[in-house]
Amino acid sequence: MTARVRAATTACPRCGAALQSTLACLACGALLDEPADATHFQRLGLPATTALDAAAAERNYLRLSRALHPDFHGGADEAATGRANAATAVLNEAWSVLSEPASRAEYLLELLEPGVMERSKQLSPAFLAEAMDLSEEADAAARDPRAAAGLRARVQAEADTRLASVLAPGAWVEPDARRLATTLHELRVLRRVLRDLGKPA
Amino acid sequence: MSLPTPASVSTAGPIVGIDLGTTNSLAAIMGKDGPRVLPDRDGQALIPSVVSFLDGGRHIVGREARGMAITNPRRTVHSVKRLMGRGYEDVAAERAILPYAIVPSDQAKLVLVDIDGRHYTPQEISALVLAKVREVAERALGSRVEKAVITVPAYFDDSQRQATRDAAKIAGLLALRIVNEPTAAALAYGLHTRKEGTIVVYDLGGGTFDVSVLKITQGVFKVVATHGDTHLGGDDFDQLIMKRILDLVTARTGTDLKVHPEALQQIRLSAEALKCRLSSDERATLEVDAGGDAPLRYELSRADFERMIQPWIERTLASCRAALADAQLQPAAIDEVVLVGGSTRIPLVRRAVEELFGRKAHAELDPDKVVALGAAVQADILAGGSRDLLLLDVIPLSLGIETVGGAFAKLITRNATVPCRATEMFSTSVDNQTAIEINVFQGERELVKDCRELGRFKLRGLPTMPAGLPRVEVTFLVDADGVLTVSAKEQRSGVAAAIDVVPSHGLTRDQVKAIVKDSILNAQADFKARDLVEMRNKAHNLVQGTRRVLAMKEMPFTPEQRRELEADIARLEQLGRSEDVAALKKAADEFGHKTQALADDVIGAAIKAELQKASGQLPT
Repeated sequence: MTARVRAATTACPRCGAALQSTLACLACGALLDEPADATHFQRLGLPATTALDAAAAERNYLRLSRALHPDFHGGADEAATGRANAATAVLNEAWSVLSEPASRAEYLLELLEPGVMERSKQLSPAFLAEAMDLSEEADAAARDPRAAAGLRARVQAEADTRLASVLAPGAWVEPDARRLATTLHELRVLRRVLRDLGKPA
Repeated sequence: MSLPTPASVSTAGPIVGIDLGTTNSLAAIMGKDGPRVLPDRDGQALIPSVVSFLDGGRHIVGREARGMAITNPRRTVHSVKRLMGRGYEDVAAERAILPYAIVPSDQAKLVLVDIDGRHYTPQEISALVLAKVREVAERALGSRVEKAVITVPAYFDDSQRQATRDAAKIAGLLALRIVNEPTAAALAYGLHTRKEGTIVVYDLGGGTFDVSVLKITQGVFKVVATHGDTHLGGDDFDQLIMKRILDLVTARTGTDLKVHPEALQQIRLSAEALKCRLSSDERATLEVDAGGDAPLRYELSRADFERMIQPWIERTLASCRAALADAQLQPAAIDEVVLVGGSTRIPLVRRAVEELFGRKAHAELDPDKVVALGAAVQADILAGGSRDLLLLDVIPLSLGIETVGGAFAKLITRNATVPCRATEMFSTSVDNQTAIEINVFQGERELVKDCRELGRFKLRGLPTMPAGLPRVEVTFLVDADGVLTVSAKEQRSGVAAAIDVVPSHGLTRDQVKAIVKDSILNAQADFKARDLVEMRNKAHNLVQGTRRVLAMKEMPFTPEQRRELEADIARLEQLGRSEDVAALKKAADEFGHKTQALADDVIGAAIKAELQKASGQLPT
């Protein structure tokens, strides 16, 4: 039966191996008690950066899934199953936030400056006007597949530019948090337009 | 990387995989050469999911019960899976079709099956089917079965999954895991041995349809999207044929057979048989006794049948496209297609699916058994037998709460990998309020009235504070089975709130307990069946132990003693094949005493120990 032990240090308290995740020891399989301030990056054993190696990140997620999943912890023991369910739920949450680049950037930004996304909600009148035009065009294009395809490509390009600027490592050296947050909000708006365009008429 | 040591299951005993189907149910277990189904004495693995209630409070389950559908239609319950975890208003379509009485319950929005005035929950009826599956499995395995992996349609919501768990509990089974049927099917095909790949499982059964998109990465099996319809299946095709026949009868004789439940049942079975024949034959006919001079002949060609069911097949294809869209994949990106469910034997279904995905579909395994086989694979994983694959399922419908004005606030989005969680802060609106009520829903619409109500969670025991001051953090945890649990803690005081759950379409814990207690499953007959299994095992162990001793050349038995022991063994083995528990117990007891006496008389202490090891399993 795997013991539940405190992750106070960077070494596993049960087997002494170096810890890669705050959730579990990958060497001996011990479920760990997480520190209260554990981040999703620490949970997945990843550096806190927007420039992640996607393949390596997924590898970590899958290794941790095997260590934590209730299928391997429990059987008839309800308490162990419950702990494994809770720990895997946290892991899955961390993965769903970090595996998507824009949500990963938003999460990193909030770590650096808590509340900045909420404080930067007010977008520039120029962008809002442009977004409104795009929405109207999207509505009009709903009946015209060719126009929709052209519009989709344009909006996608706008979104791609913003995502690239947010993901650029340079943007995070002495970052301008407000500006990054604004760009991420604009990206959200553009993605909503894209989603509406994706719907069949 | 070294894997964690597998947690041992605290009590021994086999874990079987069970497909609890709308039409048929069956069990399977992992063997040395892979999973195998567990057949009954006649070699049949499929147990019709039918319960027939007889006079004198007795009931029968399975094939015999299915045969009663014609002579005892109002007391023969089939397709009860369609009622599981549903409300009375949800099952209007079923009520119109099913020949037995369905009534609403008094307090909750539960449906009940009414048999001569006695009410049964769908969970209880399912438990009777599960008990039968268990009995067959126990006979096939020669041991008690107390733990199972049970499959459900991927599209089942929380209430339906919980109802399935409750049915298992009533049947005395611990449902270690609820697994989605399509996922189980992919496991049965061993597709997890692929290193990487994307699989579509198309499951068209008797009552339900679902399609799942699965992704395999490094032995981890992840459901990335699922779609379906809980009201689409082979039964619908039977209904189409039935309607044609009824119209024909009315046109020819003026008789409306709809008012004759027995005749309806007869026609339903005939229509189903006709449908099955059309999977291999180009045309098929049946004869209906409509009370006239000669029976009416009804002929149907495969082409006609295909035209009839085309709109239904089209709906399944639309579901496939929706699942692909959710997974952000094109049909060409799919590496494997698996067909599950008896209705995939219909040639049109196979053609349509293969055309959509542009590749041949897997249909090597019996589509009626593939789900149970896969459940056995997952059971083996839970038993610690295999760790090279891991199943990551998703939640089929978004889950959320009711907010101001009846709006639906999504907390967990559809297709999120389970287990998953969401936390939400709540406070009070009046001073010294100590309870908060949260209404939980599942669905994709904007308003709760268009979603499915799962239940009300009443948080009690909050510390008294001025209005708005308490900060109650409520955690919604959906476990690996897709079943929700809610916990709550007031952050300022650290006090955990007590939670009462009032399921909208299910049973409370106390109700399940009460049902388990007065279950008709506790009837004498069931205990007898169990006793028989146990007695057979004991006799078997005794025989094996004695054989081992007899095989030792150095044993100082006289030839007469050997002959006598061998005769006893033969008799014990013969009794072991009979149903006579009392005779078997008596013979085994006598044999135990005799071998014990022999041991005392002629054999040394070491041999005595060997014999005791064998006979020690017999109660004295």
